[in-house]
Amino acid sequence: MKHNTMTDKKDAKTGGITVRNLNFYYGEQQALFDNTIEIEAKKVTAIIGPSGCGKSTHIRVYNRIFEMYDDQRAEGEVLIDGQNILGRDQDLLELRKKVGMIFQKPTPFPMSVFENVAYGLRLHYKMDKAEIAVRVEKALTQAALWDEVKDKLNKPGTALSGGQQQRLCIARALAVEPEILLMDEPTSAIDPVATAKIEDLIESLKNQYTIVIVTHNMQQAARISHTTAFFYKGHIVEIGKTKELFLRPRKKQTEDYITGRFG
Amino acid sequence: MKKRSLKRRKATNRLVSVLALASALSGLFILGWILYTVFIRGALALNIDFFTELPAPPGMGGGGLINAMTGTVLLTVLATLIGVPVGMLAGIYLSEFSHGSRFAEWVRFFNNILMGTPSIIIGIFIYTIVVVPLGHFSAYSGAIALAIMMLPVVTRTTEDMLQMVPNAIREAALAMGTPRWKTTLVMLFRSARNGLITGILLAVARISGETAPLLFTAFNSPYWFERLDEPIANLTVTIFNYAMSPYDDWQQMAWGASLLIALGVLSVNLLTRFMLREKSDRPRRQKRSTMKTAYLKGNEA
Repeated sequence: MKHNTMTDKKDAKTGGITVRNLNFYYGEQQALFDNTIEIEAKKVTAIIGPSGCGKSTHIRVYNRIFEMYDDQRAEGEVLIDGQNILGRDQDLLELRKKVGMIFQKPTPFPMSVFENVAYGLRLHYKMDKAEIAVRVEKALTQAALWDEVKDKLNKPGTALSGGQQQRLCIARALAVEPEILLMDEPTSAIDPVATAKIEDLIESLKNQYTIVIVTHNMQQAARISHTTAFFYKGHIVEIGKTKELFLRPRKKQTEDYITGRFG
Repeated sequence: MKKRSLKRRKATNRLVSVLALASALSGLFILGWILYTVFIRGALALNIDFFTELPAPPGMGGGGLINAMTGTVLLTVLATLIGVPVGMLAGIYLSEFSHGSRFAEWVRFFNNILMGTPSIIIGIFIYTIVVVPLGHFSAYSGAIALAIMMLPVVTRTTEDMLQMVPNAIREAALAMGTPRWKTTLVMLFRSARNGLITGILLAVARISGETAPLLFTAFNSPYWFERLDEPIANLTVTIFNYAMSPYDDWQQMAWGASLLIALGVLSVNLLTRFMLREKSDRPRRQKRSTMKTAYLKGNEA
């Protein structure tokens, strides 16, 4: 029954995120202050800012992965498709099926390339083998990895190169057809050629998924994003269309950061 | 300021090095001596009968310890079946689900105490709560005593090995929507597999040479094993009984049994060394191969 709901409803404008007055704490220490931001559905939003300003912390609230750690706590509202995901009744497994995440370091699971991508399908759906094979190929193709790995589907995921591993992780996330992809500095551990491939990949995905990408690299933000948010010391200083934010920043702090005066 | 004598400092250095080396060598020497004695004396007892026959009465000659061998294997397997699942679940709780609670601190504390508890006390404990109420020695009471010996080792290694798995793997699995229990069982166990197997093998090695927990529980028997609620023959208690006996042929048998136990424990330990080495080798080998492919790719381009 379950997989009948898995239809391509990608045309609907789902996957928008509304954050209101988000505060975040590591134990006693507050890391985010009254973050309020509107993330447009089916657009790429880049989050930039100096190290330790709360960029990663912020997006780690969207799939509630921070709850793995006992001393971390979020207050405020994060609405995804109108539903407050910080609410007590939010089902975490459903949320994480809807909101995929790519980490800074590639994290292939200790299993074969094929099984890595099939993993989420087996987890969330009841599918027969043939359908899984089709979905795996589709996800790997979407992640621009199929041609490179079609002959080594049974090799361990860790045997791929770093850039391939990262695209494998993207394929793994795409396989379960999420609405939102969170990317936490996805290219910072990867060489420039592989980085270019991942940027192309983001470009090809941007009309189907809401993508929120944290990046240290301002050129990258300028190249791939539609909207950019500038974070500083846990505050969202400025949000705007990427072109405008980079050409005509309204705040002094933003200008100082993007012109390289600090950070 | 007065200069310290360079000569004297050099002499002290040499003295300490020699003492340290001598201590290390004496340890090795004693181990070698034990193994040598057990091998020389034990080898004389080994023949076909030793591995195929039931024990013979003293003075009759011949006879073997086949019942004690199978008994020891059976007791070890039973104890492993009880001790490993319980110990692993306890280790999983401590590593993944305890959230640093005070209760977990206590569990860890008592686990460490249990690890240092003399085995004879565990034997008497099981004697009191299992053997006495039921009124007879039994194979399963022996297995329970051995399982309790295993418990702290398995719990501790499971917790340690799971703690060594990087949080990145946990985060990646949870971010895919994996439930917590499945994250542990599938992801973490795959990542920590070698370490966990090593822990189990060490625990098995620890109990397979134990005598004290069996003295008051499994006892011993000159017969084939038939039922779990009867005393069961085993090598260690046999060694104890035969070595104390006044009969030459029984003492000879005790040496043979000692050799068997020594070989068994030694091979399990070597197996764990092998597993650990394989584990620590793997990332190195992998790094080398990725470096090589990167180099080849560079040439192609």
